Amino acid sequence: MPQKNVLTFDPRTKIVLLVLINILVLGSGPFIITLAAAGIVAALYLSAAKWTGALKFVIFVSICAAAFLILPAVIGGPVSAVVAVTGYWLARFGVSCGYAAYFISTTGPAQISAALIALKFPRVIVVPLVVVIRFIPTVAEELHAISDAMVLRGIYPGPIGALAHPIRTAEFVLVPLLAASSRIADDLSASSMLRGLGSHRNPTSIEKLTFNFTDVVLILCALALTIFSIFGKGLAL
Amino acid sequence: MTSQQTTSSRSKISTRDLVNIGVYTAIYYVITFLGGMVGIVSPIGMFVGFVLSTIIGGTVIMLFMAKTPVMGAMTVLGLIVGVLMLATGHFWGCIPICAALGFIADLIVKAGHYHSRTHNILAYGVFQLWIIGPFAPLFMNTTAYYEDMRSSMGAQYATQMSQIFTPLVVAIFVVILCFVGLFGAWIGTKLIDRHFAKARLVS
Repeated sequence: MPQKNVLTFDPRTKIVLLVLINILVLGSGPFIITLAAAGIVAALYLSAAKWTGALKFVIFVSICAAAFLILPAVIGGPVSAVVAVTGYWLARFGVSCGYAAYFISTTGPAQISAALIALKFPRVIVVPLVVVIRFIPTVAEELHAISDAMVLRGIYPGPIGALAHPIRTAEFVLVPLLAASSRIADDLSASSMLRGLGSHRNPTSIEKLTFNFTDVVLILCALALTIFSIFGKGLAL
Repeated sequence: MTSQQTTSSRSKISTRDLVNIGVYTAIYYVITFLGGMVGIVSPIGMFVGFVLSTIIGGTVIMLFMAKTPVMGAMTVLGLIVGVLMLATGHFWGCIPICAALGFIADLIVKAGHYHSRTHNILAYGVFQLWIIGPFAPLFMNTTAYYEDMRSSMGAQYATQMSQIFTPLVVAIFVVILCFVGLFGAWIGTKLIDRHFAKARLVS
């Protein structure tokens, strides 16, 4: 898990930042907030040594921002205006999705559940969320197994066939998926209850959660951005 | 293993229900996410994708309602869907929107004593309106956004833009989504009758 030369952050910090960046970027703050948040996200990608991810993210946001900020000044007309609006929204959604991709790729399921328990989230949220994180790979596996079985029986529709008969294809895939899942759900609830999932005592975790100096820096950056977005509304851009 | 789950309604959410909520949320969310993936192609693709995922998700939620006849099940499912939307970079407002619609769906299902077809179908049609959630930033805070646009593209264009996302357009979108949801849920009940009720997976 933790590698050398890579900055790791506490999962609690990352969850707080997930919410903050989302509110800032998709809220009513000026566009420059989005660009500043993009800077933080790019720095996070670099801190995790995800070079290609950082490059893709920076290029995407730069193109979108350029489409909004520069294009209408250079070329007028309705087409460039439509492109500019699209760029404006893609930049905003791109930053929030970019952070989410960073969050998912650097935070393991055990870390997320440990953080949620440490943050005192109620049982009604923690238990289903842990099951979801555990179960999404199973859904993917089952889908693969079902499509293999369809190939074997010669009823695999292929992309064109699936588009031609979407409902029938959905039935062929969905019914075995749901049948298998409801069986797995029974097994899963039995085995997880044996291990004490959802019992009222606070469970401990082998994941050690510790706040480091890097967490403090990150939180301060996010706070500065938040304050700026609250008091900096009158700014141009 | 024999399923000890009773399908008569209970008053309190058990751990078993919570695991069930997790499992069905995972399936439902994967379907919704795959539907959204279609939308990467084009905005029209996005609409088609959500219509498809709404129809397919109907079966999942109908089966879920049959398996967990307990007050609060849809609220928690909605809440978790909202959290997953946030974790995948969508608008944070999805959490309250999904939870509130889930709660309304719960009330509708409860009004039908958990076994009424009509009530369950209606509940899904209402719940599915959460699809508005991820697009809510396009409709909310519009004045702030048009400030942004005005500085970049001029006043005339900004006012034109503000006339596209009118309440009427949003209302039409909502009504269409609701009807697609009802259709999907109806298909769901047919599929459950045909495949699951016979195999005694649900009563």
